[in-house]
Amino acid sequence: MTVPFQSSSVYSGVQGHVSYTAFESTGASACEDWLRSAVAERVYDKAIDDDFAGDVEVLATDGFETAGLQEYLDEPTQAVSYWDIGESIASLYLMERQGASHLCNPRRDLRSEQGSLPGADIVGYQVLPGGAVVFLFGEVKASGEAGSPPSVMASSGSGMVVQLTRLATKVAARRQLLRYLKARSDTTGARPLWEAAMKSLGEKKYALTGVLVRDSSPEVKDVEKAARDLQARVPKGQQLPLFVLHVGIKVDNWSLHCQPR
Amino acid sequence: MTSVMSKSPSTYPSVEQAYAQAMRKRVLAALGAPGADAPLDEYATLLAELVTWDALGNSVADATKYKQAARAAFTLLRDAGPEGADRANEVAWWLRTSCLAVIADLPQEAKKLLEAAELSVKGEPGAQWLDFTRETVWTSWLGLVRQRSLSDVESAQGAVERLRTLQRTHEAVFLKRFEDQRAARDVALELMALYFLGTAAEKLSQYLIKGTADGGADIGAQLDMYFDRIMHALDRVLGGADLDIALLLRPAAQNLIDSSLRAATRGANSLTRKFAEVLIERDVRPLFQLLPPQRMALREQGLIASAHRSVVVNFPTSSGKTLLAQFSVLQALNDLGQERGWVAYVAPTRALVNQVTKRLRGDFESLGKRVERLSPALEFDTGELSALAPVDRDVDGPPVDVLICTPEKLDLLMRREDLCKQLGRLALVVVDEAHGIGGKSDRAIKLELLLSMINREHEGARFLLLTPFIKNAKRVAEWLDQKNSRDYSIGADWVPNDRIVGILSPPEKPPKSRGVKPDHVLFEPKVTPKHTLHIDDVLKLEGVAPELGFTYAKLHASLSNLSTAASQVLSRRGPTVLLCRTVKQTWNCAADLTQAAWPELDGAEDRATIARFASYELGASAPLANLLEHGVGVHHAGLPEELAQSIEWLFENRRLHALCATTTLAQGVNFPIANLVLSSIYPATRDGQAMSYSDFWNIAGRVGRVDQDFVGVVALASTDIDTKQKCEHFLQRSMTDLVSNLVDMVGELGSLADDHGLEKLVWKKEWSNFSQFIAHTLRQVGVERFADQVELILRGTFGYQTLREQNSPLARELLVKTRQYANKIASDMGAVALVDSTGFSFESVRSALFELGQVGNLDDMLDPKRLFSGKSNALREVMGVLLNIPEVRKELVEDGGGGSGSRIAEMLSDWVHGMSVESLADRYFKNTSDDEDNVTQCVKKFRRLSMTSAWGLSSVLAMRFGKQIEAMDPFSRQAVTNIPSMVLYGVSTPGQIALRAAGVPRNAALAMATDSDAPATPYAVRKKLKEGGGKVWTAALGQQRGADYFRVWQILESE
Repeated sequence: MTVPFQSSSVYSGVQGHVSYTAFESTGASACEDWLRSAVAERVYDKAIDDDFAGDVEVLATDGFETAGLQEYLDEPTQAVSYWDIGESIASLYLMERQGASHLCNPRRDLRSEQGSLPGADIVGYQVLPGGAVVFLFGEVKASGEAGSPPSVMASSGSGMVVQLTRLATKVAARRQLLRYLKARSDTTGARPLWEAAMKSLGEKKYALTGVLVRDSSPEVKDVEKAARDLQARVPKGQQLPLFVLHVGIKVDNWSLHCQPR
Repeated sequence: MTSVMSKSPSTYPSVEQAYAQAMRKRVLAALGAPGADAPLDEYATLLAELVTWDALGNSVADATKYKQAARAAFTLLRDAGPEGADRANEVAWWLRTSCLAVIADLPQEAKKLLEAAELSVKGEPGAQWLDFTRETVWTSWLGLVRQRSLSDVESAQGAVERLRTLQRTHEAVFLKRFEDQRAARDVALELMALYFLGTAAEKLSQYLIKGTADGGADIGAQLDMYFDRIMHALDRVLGGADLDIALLLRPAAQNLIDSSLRAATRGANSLTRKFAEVLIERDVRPLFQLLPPQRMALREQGLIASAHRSVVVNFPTSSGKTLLAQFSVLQALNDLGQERGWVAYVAPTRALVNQVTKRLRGDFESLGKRVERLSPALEFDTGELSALAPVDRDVDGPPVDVLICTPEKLDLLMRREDLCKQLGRLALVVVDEAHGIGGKSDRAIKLELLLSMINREHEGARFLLLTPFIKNAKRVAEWLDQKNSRDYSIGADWVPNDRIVGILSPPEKPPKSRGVKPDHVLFEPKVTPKHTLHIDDVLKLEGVAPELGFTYAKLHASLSNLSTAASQVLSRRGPTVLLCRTVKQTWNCAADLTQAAWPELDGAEDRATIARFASYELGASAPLANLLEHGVGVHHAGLPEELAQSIEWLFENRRLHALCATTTLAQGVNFPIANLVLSSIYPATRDGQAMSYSDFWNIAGRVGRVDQDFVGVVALASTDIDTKQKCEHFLQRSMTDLVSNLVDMVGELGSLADDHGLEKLVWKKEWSNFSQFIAHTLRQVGVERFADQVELILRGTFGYQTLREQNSPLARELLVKTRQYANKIASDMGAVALVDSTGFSFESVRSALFELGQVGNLDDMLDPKRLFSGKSNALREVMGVLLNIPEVRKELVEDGGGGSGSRIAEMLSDWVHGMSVESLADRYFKNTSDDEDNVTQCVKKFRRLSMTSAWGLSSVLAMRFGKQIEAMDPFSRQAVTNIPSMVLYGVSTPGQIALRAAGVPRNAALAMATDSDAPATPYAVRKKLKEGGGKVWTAALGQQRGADYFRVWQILESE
């Protein structure tokens, strides 16, 4: 199913090497259908092998206590939150409209609570118009706030500006993500993309993006300031497109449509 | 030739560039030059690491590819340092970086990186159970990589056991703190992965120590199972801190297993396995892992159980050839089974013989294998005879298993049928520095013919030739056995250390430089053996001490000053050898170096001991004691052997800042040095010829420190364009084929008149050696069969094989002349027999016999007391005769102060009666040289004179009194047989001889054994000295002197 967003933007702007573009949905019903199908499929995508019974048994024979661990390993996966759904919305959009490919599924893979994986919601590849492939890193924020800009854009700890700045300026952050992507790529058939993106990285080329998923009406103030701030913080040679996706359904209702299939 | 590592580390230009940049920074930092703080290309570092993963994960990638990638990644990550300053980041960086080094087959680099790492767990288990578990597991693995001691390798076992205990208290509490179920589950998964990693470390630890884990030797399969489970768990967590390290640990663990001593000796004979245990369990420098070249030869290419008769190991310096030889020796001994037999280990110099003896004795003692060395003197004293043909086990010791000696001594031994019979089957001949076969000296042909002779006459003997620097190793291996041979070669540029070779020059004189002292010298890097250090600039070596007093003019005027200044600067970063042209220069440079202000240096007590020892041996006024106290040493042929060895020990154990040495050091050094400065590439001993390729790399190859993160520096001094160009040319030389000296020698046949034979050439030492080979073979084969066999005999030599391929007419001519020569000498088989017992040519034997027949009464030769009384005419006459024998003439003339038998007889008598070096110098060497002081001259000359005279006297005894001696009573026979040893060791009683043979310095031996009748063998003496401790020494020598000599003896004798 194609993503339910208009092909032409509702507003756009450029701040030096930082651009922003906003898209409205093609309608609430199309969005609901989409949440029920493609988005749900991605959000509830489960790993093939989640059975650790054999491993726990071996651990026990090695002299470790296993009862405590077993309790947590058997724990059912916690319910999804609206930001999980927002991340999937952004990923599906980037893959269909912006040439992104093999984006890792953050809902399935990434740890957010422990912070040992640096905050990056988008990790994968992007095929550029000329055919070149680059690594793609990005941040996704979902917000149901009435005010503009939403606080997720500018908050000092985990706001989009802070996180994108970190991704753009700290190689160590990208290193961690690439270690993670590498492990994924070998098992998901993305090896040719990996090799091509490595060549680009050899020329210090990679892509960075930010996506804000909104339930409100389009409002340029949502991203204008963030774009300005990022222009000052992200190195000049690095293009940074920001996208705002207006779903047209209140965030509280996303999970009503997005259910396990 | 297999290259362990090739030049290009990566196919990514940015990685290559960054790699070169990182190496450049490393060199600049090592030299203290500006530019060492250039920024890191973080992208390239990241890329290099990812390329390694790529290569590791790609099943089609060959090992070379991922090793290259890992090497670049290691270099860049090492340069980058930890991602954060906290303990977790530091430990992760150590592990990630050292794993890459291990994967890259750079285990030494991994060890060096971890040298300063703190491996005890710092965290507390309470609050952060996950962090504590991670630190415990990671540090366990760091110990397994570092392997500095048994506790490094063992620590995993205790640490993981502790983890199991603490888990019961802390894990549940920790997990309960997570409100978010997903997070708790992730942590549980991560903990499970870490527990598995800990268990894997524990099992690897067991395996490296015991050879089994959980009772099984299938450690590879066991770890595979664990890593599958680790990946399964981490794959679901993707906590970045663990995943990539686990990915790297898997191949690193595999490499640790593959390179382990346990894996290499699995399935080997019980003796070899026992040896592995000795190496693993020894207190000092335990060995768990082989170097990559050793692994390649022993494990991958089967040398551990090789049945090849002829093996050549062609490895560069410092790549661990001796260990390979040790395994081969044990295999040969094991293969003997119940049969009585032995192994010969040949080393070219007395220093190397001593070093190998120390090492093999230390390693084989607990295996119940007896290792003995033979003195280089060309005779067998009673002590040696007691070892070679033991009668009483308590006094003579058990039968010898391994004999270590020079080629000349082995040659003499192999011609002694009686001794060979006692020793049993010769199972293996190990030839150290076998490239000596290709030298230009008479020693080269001696060694070649010796091996040919053994090959022909000892059917069961195998050969192991150890050599660096030859191109035709396969051909050399085939020489001794066409069908059953094998060569093990790795690239000449494999080195365990980073090393840079460059040219020194004085700084350009500024205007008005008169009297001004520059603070630096210039260094232009030229050669890096790994082709990885790319430097184009001329660098400043800053920090020349003004106290040295070197002005611009002085640095420009003298290579000696320039190299002294460079040595002083370089010594700040590690012990430096300054290789000097002459003995005099060593003293001068050392004296200059003491002027600089040096930092504190460990080992003051040891330096003081050796300084006192120097003054006991050379006299209180000798300058060496003062130099040593400043941490500066000298090393040359003018020092008594034990003193030279003690100084080597001081240097090796980092108790000296700098050592000023002649090339004598290069012949014996087998320890790493930090920096090497050559004041000239033309040593005085080579008559205007530059150092040989092998001599240079023999010492330059040892530059770099194995145990520390270090770039070794080799610097050649040049003060003008011409010298600089010569140095550049010198460095461009490369390895060549090993060519037999016989090929060159045969060219001389053309100079002979038609009716002249080889007898016209045997006055030359190399032809004398050839003549002796023919005489010996003639005896063995018999006159009747020799004519038929002569071609086969010659074909057994490497030189003749080459000649036949390259110049068959010349080969034919050699054959004809040899046959004619044999026919001629066959007319006097009595003299032919004496060739074997003297080491002289047939012609020399005949001439000596004739001359000895002309002189008067030689009865004193059968009475040592009268012979060395100083009044014996016999000694004068005998020395006079020997002065006409070509084999010994040159040395006797040069060292005996001219052509007088009387003078030599007088010198020998004083020497045997224990006259001190100081007095001998005063009496015989007063003002004999402008270049060297009396004492230096004296020691240098007596070292050779004693050797040559002992040989000469032994030969005379064999020629003139052989039968008479045989008929003597045992006591008198022993007294006469000891005559050459009295001369060799400079002592007069059997007890003193035994002490000297057991390694006791001359002055101590003179004081410790005065009872001339005491029956003693070196074996018994060594045992007694070991058991007696310091008391034996202080009782004879007084408190201080006794304690000093005892310490020196311990240094010299213990490994």
